Amino acid sequence: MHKQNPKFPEGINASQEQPLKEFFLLVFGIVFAIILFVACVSYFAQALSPYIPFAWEKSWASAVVPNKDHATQDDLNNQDAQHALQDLLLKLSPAQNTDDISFDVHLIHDAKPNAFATLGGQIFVTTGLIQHIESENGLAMVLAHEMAHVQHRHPIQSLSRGLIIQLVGMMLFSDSTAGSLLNQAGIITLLSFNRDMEREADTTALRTIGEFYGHTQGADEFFNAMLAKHDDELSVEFFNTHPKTQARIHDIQSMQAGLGKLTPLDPALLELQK
Amino acid sequence: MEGFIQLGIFICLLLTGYIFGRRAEKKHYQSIIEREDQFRHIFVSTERLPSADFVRHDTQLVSGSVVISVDYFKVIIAGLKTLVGGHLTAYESLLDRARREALLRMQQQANDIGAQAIINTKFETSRISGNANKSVGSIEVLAYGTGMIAK
Amino acid sequence: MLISNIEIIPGKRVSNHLGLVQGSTVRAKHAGRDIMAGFKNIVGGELKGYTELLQESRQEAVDRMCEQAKAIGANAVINVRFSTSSITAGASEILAYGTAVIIEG
Repeated sequence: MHKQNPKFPEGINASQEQPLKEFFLLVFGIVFAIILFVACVSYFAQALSPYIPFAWEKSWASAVVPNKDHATQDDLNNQDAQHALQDLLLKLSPAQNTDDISFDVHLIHDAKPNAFATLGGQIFVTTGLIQHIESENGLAMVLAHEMAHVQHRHPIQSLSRGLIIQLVGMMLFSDSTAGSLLNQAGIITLLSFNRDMEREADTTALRTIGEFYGHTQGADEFFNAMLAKHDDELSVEFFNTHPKTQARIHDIQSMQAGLGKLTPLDPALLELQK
Repeated sequence: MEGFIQLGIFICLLLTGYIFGRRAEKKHYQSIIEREDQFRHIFVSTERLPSADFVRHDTQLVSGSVVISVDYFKVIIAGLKTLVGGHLTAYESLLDRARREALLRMQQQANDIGAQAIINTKFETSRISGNANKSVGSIEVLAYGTGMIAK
Repeated sequence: MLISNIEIIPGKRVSNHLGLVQGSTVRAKHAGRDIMAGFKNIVGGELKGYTELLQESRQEAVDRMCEQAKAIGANAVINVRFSTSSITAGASEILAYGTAVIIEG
């Protein structure tokens, strides 16, 4: 009798289970774990990072700030405008209770209107933004808003949050789609402030404006200008980094103490508008 | 916006991999089970010395190999599983198919040369790298042994 | 279930050869083991996590092989061989195969 190969039952070496079930379990489990993790990290980063001394922020920032000795021709032309900005900031400082923080405001040559604050009290304003301002009140609102970010330590909070998310993303996933998604999430947290931070900065800034000028007329000037030019290419970048402009205008208008006269812009800044 | 496009492409690839992958696997298993019945008479074993039945037979090396590719769905599951650990059932079924296919092809070759049994069977499994960016590669399984041909 | 690497079991007689049986597992490491291995890469030494993982996998492969042998009525597997291969980054397959037999004595 010739020997025959035996017939084996299926399912010993290969599971008969449906892979879809396992897949969804995995995906939802991992996504949930990631969301939980990101939430925890965000909370702790935001709570603990303000304990990093501001002096350290300043020394880190001084490494990246444009060196005043290597100014370009554009920078030299706009030195007056830069001084005017710095003066306005100094004037606003007492009203905002930021006399103990030393800010540095820099004018960037970019047609796209934007303003942001980073570590060490460094505030950047583009020439494009100046061109869309009509009165000093509007500009003061923008400056006070950025000063408020620095005052409330928002830069160091979002930076530490973004960095930790990216770090863990790199450790867990070396290269996969999930890894790159987490990476992008980390970068987004790094670069922008969240809604609560923006609202807090708006509130503080409005209080400063009210105290400094005696009224808050013109505070929403810049945001209205941005909204009017929604389709303008240059404004797109602004909207990407400062969402919900309509909502912010609404909030500002609901906080306005009273109406008053608008203060005109410094002549050096008016020069930029030409 | 870019993120959504990436996610969309990812989901499309995943669905394609899943649907076509499962279909291919089912068809393959059906074909394997049929052919195993067909070649049941070619006895395969791992013994080194031929038993008394095969003392007067001629011998010849026979082999069978197959390269099966991994589909996108399996790659993603594997990636997720390397986080939590455990059995990679997706790959287990892939390798089971590949091994049985390699055995069948070896039996086919044995059949062609008139061998009645195969002894000293050995397996070799290796990974063939795919593109540089993603580890979507393929698995090669080689089965080889000595066929006993009646004189 | 007797498992042996050799052809002839001393003291026993093989009464019937039943056929080739195989057992395999593909196991993936998990993130925890990976991170520890990352640290070990700096200081050197045995990667206990991975050793344990592969030992468990090997045992499981042998168990599956025995399951196949039992399913066809064998009570021993002889001429067992192992084969390990890397399947994808972070996962490897362990294959154990041999001939299922019925032994007496």
